[in-house]
Amino acid sequence: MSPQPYQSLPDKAFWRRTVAGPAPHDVDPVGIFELRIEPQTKVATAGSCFAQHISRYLRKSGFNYFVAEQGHPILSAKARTANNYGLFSARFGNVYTARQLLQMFERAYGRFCPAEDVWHQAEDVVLDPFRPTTQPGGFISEAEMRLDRAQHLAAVRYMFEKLDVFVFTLGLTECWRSRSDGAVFPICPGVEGGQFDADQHEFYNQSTEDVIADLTAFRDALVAVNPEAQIIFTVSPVPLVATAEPGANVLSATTYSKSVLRVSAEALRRRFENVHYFPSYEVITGAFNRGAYYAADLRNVLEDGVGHVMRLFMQHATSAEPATDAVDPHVDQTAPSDHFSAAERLVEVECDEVAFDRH
Amino acid sequence: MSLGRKVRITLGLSGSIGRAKVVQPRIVLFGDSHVHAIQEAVRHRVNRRANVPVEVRRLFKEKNGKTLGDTPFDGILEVGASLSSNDVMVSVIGGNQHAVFSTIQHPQPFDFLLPGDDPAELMEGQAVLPYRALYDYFSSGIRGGDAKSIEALRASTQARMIHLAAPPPKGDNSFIENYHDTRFAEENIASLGISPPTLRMKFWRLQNRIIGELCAKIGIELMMPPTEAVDADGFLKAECFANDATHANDNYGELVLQQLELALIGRSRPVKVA
Repeated sequence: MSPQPYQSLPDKAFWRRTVAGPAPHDVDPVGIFELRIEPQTKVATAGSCFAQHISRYLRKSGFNYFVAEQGHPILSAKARTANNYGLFSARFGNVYTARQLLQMFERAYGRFCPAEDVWHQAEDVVLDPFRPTTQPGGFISEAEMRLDRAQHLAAVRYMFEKLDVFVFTLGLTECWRSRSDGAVFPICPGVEGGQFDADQHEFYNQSTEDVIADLTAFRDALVAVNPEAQIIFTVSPVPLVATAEPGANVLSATTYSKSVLRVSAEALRRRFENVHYFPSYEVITGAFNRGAYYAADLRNVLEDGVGHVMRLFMQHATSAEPATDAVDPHVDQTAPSDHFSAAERLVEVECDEVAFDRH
Repeated sequence: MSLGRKVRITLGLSGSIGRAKVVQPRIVLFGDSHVHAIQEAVRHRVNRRANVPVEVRRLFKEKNGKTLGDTPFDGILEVGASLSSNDVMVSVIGGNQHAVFSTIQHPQPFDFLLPGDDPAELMEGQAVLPYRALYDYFSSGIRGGDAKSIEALRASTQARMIHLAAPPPKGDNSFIENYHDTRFAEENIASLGISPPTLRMKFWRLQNRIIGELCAKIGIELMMPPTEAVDADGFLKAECFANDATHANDNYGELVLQQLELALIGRSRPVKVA
């Protein structure tokens, strides 16, 4: 007679031993996570706003946080940060939905060219509808926006082709899309730019089937240009700020959205060897912390919670020794500073010397 | 050497209209390295016993055992305080930020558009920086430095105030390269060479936009360089080159003096003194 199957299971399979019993900060919801990130591994990030925390921690940790679009080094590091360079691995802003991710990939490779591809806010304020908040103040002209977008999409291609690991934080299922060609916008037109037009724009709430199909198409496209690429999906624990689902309550809509994303991530993890899931969503939303990881608005995640997630991420995904020899030229930031200092010295010397008689 | 000597010459233009005595404004010009060209022009006028309508002062600095200039910043603030609303303070403060950004060719060549620029004129194959990203960064440097001095000067005086834009860039790369041979070798940047003239012109225009906006906000008029000193493409004419990358010479200084005379004395309204 065989022992009943639960007898041989590890502690992590049992609620009391793993969730209710340990101190909250010791709870570790990681199930299967077999990917290892070495100091030289190039890790790229994208996703909803929670993904920014992952980017920040990776950068701080000294691991090889791969930024394919760093901004020109004539700008100081502070100025580049202020202009959203390095917030993610390219200057794409928040990518909330699986459809947006897939379309970004298709746009980068010229396979999808949305009809509504420029928003004129004023004579000298032009936005890219697919990253409307990325350039503070907007672009000064449509020509400048298109030039910047061409450079951006080149950086996106470079990122996808050179990365080792792509961490994508799934944020939403709800989005707004063009009725003409299905292009999805990160933000509803009219909110941060553009003009809402009910004849041109429609609400679209992705189903589980849609998300799985989009993520699968994205995964296949990524592997086509980078066969060794590994993907980590996480689900953002940040609730919807508002729902546009007819008749819906925002709390229930949040549950729907996160459930679809969680199920989809799991479906892909089971289906593909190069897809992994990391449970940041569970760390933040788990009942074990009694809501302590949320700010007073019950939406934003506190630093303690992010720290818990990233501590577990480092523990499970890395050898926890920061890189000392990240050599990718796209990561190097020293030469430009040297250049600027040399230029300053040159002009300073010249300014001093001009007092002496030269004609 | 008398280059740092303050030049204060009474204009001798006092006169009378009817029974009223007319007094020309006192004009004080103050700045840093770009003042040198004007000081030289003044020196030539003095030698020729010609009128000098402007009192020219250069910021006093001490560096590596050498002193430059004649007037510490506190000193010019005192001068500013002594001026009346009929007088004029001309600022030639700063003005070389554009050269820091655009003299040496950057290892990663780049270009940018200013509002209204034709994108067809961008240099081919180079990274294009968003204007607003560059503007914010460039202007933060000015705000943290020269703008504070200009604002302090403005606050010090009730005089009419003018800011004279820096001389435009030189369009001749070989001229700059010849001068900078040694310096480039010292800085180990000889292989980089000089930025394209069009980039230098863009940074100079950007600087003028930023300074112009600051001036407009605090009641200072922006005066552009004399048109006689500028070629058809907007670059400094060769006869106005000082022997370095960014500065102008005494020919330029003389043109500035003439421009100030025309603007401030030719058009100035006589003041009736009781």
